[in-house]
Amino acid sequence: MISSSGVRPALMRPLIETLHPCLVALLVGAAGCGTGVIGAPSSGTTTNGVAGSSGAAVGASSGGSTGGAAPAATSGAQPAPVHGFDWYDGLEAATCTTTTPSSALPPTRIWRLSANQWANTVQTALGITGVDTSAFPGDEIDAVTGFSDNSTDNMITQPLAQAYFDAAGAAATSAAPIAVAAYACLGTAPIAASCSQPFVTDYGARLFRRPLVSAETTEYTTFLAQQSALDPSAVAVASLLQAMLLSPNFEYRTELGNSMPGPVTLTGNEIASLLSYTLIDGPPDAELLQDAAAGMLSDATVRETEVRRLMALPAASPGALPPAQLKLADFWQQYLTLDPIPVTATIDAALATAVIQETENFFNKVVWAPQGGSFNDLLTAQYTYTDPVVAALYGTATPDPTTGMLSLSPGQRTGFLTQASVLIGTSAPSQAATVIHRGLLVRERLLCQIPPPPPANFLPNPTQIEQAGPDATALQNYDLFAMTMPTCNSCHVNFQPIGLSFETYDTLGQYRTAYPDGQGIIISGNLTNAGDATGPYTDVIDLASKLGPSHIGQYCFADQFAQYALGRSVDLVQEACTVRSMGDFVTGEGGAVRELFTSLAHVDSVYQRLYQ
Amino acid sequence: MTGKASSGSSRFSRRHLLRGLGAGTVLLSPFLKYRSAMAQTAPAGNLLIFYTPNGHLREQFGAAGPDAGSSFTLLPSLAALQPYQDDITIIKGLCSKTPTNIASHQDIVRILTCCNVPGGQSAETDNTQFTAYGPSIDQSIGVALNQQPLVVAVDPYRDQPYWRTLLSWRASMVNEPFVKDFTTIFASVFGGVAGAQSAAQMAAVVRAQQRKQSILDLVTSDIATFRARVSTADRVHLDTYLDSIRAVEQRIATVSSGTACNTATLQTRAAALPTPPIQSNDTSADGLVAQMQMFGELHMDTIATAFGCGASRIATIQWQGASEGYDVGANVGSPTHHSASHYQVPNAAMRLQAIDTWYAQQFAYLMNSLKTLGALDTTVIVWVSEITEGHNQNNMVVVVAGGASLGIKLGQYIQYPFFGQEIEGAGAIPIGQDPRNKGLTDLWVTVQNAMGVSSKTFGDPQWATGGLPELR
Repeated sequence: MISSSGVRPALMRPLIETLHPCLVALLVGAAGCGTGVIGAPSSGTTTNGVAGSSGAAVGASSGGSTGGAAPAATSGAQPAPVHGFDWYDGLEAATCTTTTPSSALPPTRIWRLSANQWANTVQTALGITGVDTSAFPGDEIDAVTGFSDNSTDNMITQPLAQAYFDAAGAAATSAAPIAVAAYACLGTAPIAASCSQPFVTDYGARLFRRPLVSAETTEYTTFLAQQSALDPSAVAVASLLQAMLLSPNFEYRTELGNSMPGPVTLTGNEIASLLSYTLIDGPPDAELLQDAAAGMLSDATVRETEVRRLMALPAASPGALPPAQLKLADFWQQYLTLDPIPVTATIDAALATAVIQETENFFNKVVWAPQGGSFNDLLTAQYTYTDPVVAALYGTATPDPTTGMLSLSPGQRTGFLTQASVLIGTSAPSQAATVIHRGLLVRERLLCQIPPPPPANFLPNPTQIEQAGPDATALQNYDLFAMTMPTCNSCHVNFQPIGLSFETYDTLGQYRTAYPDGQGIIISGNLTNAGDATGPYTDVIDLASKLGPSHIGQYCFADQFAQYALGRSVDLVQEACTVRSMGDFVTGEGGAVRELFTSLAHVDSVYQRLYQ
Repeated sequence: MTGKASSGSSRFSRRHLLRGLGAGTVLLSPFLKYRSAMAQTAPAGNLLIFYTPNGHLREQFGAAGPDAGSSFTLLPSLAALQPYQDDITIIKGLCSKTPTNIASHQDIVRILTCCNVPGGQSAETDNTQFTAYGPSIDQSIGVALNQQPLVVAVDPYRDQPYWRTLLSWRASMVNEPFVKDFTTIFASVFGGVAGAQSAAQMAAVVRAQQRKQSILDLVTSDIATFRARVSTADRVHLDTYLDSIRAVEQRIATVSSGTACNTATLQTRAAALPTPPIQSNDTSADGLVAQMQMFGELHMDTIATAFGCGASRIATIQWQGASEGYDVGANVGSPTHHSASHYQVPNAAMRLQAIDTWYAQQFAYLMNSLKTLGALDTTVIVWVSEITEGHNQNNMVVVVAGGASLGIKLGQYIQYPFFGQEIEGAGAIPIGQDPRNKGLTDLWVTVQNAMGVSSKTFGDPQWATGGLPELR
C-alpha cells in the first residue's frame, strides 16, 4: 500500500515548542512506533483566543465569582443551579450603602481593546481612515457571561499579535506623512530629540489616552533619533508609530488607579477612557480629557453629564447609526446571540438576513425612540419593524413602506420573544431540543437563573426526551420523560415546560394553533421560582406581559448589561447592590433601557478598585 | 460590532455547554520559561540525509586501518573524499534492528524510521513490507525544531511515489513525498523570490528585518515596564503578549532569512536546466549521467545555500530509487544499478565500484559547497543506503561528514564488531537483532542529539543503547 501524503498539521509544531523539554524529548524520541508526529491536531483553531498553540491562559473571571462550581446531579435532590433561584430574593433584601466596603471592591485590571475599539482609536488618534481589522481573530464568548468582551479572557495571542503587527505597520505608514506635515522638523533626518519631543508628547498622549511620563518620552525620542539615522525620516516616524501602536499602553485600557496596594480610585484619564469606550467604543475626546485633567470626573454628576453627551453624539456618516446606538446594538446582538442564520431548504438568503435585520431594527427603534423604550416595551410591543419577507411569516399585514413598522396580529406575538430570528435561532432538528432552547432562553437570559450543565459523562440523546414516539406532541414526550427520568427532570422542569408554551411557533417562527397532524398545543403554564413574575400564564404573550414589568426581569436585564458594559462577570449575589442600583436608576428614569448607560456613572464600584 | 465573534449554529445550548465544560484549559504558563531555555541550549545545526540505492561494494567502499581509530585509509571508491578526510567519519558494523520480513530493498522504509509493525518483528508479513511505522529521522527532528524538512529527488526519477522511493515518513504510514521541481523547491524554501536580487535589494531586505526587530525590541521593553504596574493577576496578559511577540519575531526572522539568501545564481541555473530526463516505471534512457549530475549539483547547492542562510535546516536527497537506479559509472539507464548489485551484468563488481565512485564525487561536491558557504561545521551529512551489499541490513558502511560544531567527532574510522554471518534475507534478521551488534537506531539518536533533540531513543526504543559515543 502506498500511503498518500496529507496536509502538514501546522498546529502541532507550536504546541511542541511550548512543552517542557523532557516532555518534548519523551515525545520525540519515544514517540515510538505506531504513532505519528506528536499528538492529535488541536481542534482549537487560531480564530479564537482560547488555549491552543498560542499558550493563552483563560483564567477565572475577575470580579464577582460565579456563585460556585456546579455540583453533579445527585439522585432525588434538585441540583443547585449555577445562579440560584434565590438571587432575586437576596437582591431585594440586600442592605446597600452608597459606597462599597473595601473588601467588596472589584480588583483593578487591564482590559484589551476590542477590534472595533482598536480601529476607532487608531483612526481617531492618527487622523486616518480605512483601518482594516478583518484579519483579527475573533474573541471567544465567555462561558459565564455569554459576551465576548471579557477582560480576563481577551489576551494578545500569537495570531492576534501578528495581525496587530501587520495592521499597525499599515496604519503607521499612512499616518507618518500627516505627522511630518504637522511637525515640519521631522522631515529632516536624523531627527534630534529637541525636534521630536513635541511630536512624541502629542502623539503619545493621543495613542495612550494619557500624558507620557518623562521616561517614555526619552525612550521614544531616542528610538526616533536612532531609526532616523538609518532610514529616511518618514520611515523612522512610521517605525515609532508602529512601535507605539504595539505597546500595551495602546492595546490595553487600564483601570489601575495609582497601582498602590489597597483601595484605589481610577485616575481621571482612566475614567475618561472608561466612559468613552463604554459608550462609543472610542478614545476620550477633548472635553472628557479636560474634565479629567481638572479632576472633575470623580463627581458622579459630571460623569452623568458626560454620559448623556456621549449618548447624544451624532452619527459619523449619513445613514450610519450614532456611535452610542452602535454600541448598544452590539450589546443586543450578543445578548440574543444574533448569529447569521444558515441558509437551508426552507430559509433562503433573503429571509436569513431579513429576520436578523428585524430584531436589530426593532431594538434600535424602540430603545432610541425620543421617550426611550423600556425592557417592558421590548417584551410586549405589539408591533415590529421589518420588511415584507418577514411580514409574510407573521400573517397578512404588510409593513409601512417608509418606516417599516408592522402591527402584529393580536394575541399572536409579543415583542422580541416571538420574533422570527429568536424562534428560528432556538429551533433545532429535534423537537425536544427546540423546546429546551426556548425554555432556556427565558430561564437564563430573562431570569438570570442558570441551571448546571448535564452530568460530565452525559451524551445528549433526544430519544430519551422523545420516548412517546415521533407522532407524539412535545408535551406528551415531556410528560413521559418527567415520569421515567425524574433525576434529569429535577433540572429540566425549570425550563422545558416554558419551552412547551412556545410550541405555537414552528421552527420558522410561524404561528399555529395546532400541530400539522391536528393535535392541539397546550400553551398555558406556570412559571415557578421567578420572583415577582412567578405564577400561572395563559400563553407566551401573557408570560411576556408578566416578565416585562417585573423587578426580576428588569434586574436580570440590568445584570446582563452590566456584564457586557463592564467586561466581566457581575454576580447577582455578591454584587447585588450594583445591580439593584442600576435597575432602580433605570426605573426612576422612566424605565428607558438606554439609561442603563447613565446608571453606570453612579456605580461606585466601577471607579473604586482593590489593587493587589 | 465586534470582530468575528465565535459562533455556533445552536446558540443557547452551546453557551450552556460551554459553561459545563469550564472556561477553557491551559497549561502553558509554567512552561514558558522552559521554552526559551531550550532554544538557548540547542546549537542551530543542519541535517542532510544523502541516500543512494542498492548498497555498496564494501571491498572497495569504506575505510581500512589498524582497528578503529583516527588513522585510516580510504578505500578506492571514496578517493574523492581524500581531501576531506579530516571532515568525515566512516562507520562500519551498524545493523538495522527493525527490518521488514525479507530484509531487502523494501527496507528503504525502515532505515530512517527504525520501527517494526505494531506487534514486533514476528508480526511482519509480506503485507507490511512497504510501510514505515513511525516518522523518519528527518521528519522527527523537523517536528522538534519546528522546521519543515526538504525531501528532493534527482532526475531521471519517477514522477510519483512508489515503494522504492518511500524513504522519508511524516508519521507512521504517512509517507513524505519527494519534490523534484525547482520552482516548487525555491518557493517553499526561499519564499518564492522572483528573479535575481541585486545587492541593494538584499541590503534593503536586511535593513527591513533589523527595523522590525528594533520595533519589537522597543515593544518588549514597554511590555516589561507595563507589567510592573499591573496587579499580580493581570501579569499573565503581559506574559502571553511577550510570548506572542517572540513568535512574531521568529516569523520575521524566517521570512527575512529566506529573502536574504543569495538565490540569484541558483535561479539562473534552474532556468538553464534542460528538460528533466525521464524515468518511466523503473526504466530510464542511457547516456543521461551528465544531466543527472547537473540536476544533482543544483539540488546540493540549493540545500547548501538554504543551510548557509538559515532558510532551511533539514534536507534529504534521494539520488535514485531502491531496487532500480541509474548505472552512473557506465552511463546506462535504470534499473541497471540494481542489476549490477545482483551481478546480473558482466563486470558487475567493477561497475558497482564505478557507481560508488561517482556518488562519492557528488558527496565531495556537496561537502565543498557547504564548506564554501561556511555551513559544513554546522551540518551533519549522513550517507545511507537501504541494504548493505546483498539483501540484508547488517554490518553496514555509513559515511558521516560535517557537524564538527555540533560535537561530531570527525577524521576517524569507527568499526563496531559484527557478530554472526553475513547472510541474506530473513535469516539475517536475528543476526542483526543480536544485542551485541550495534544498531542503526543509535546512529539516529546521536544525530538527533547533535541537532539539539535530547532524547536517547528513536523509533522502537528497545533497540536504543543511548547513541554512538564514539561518534559524538
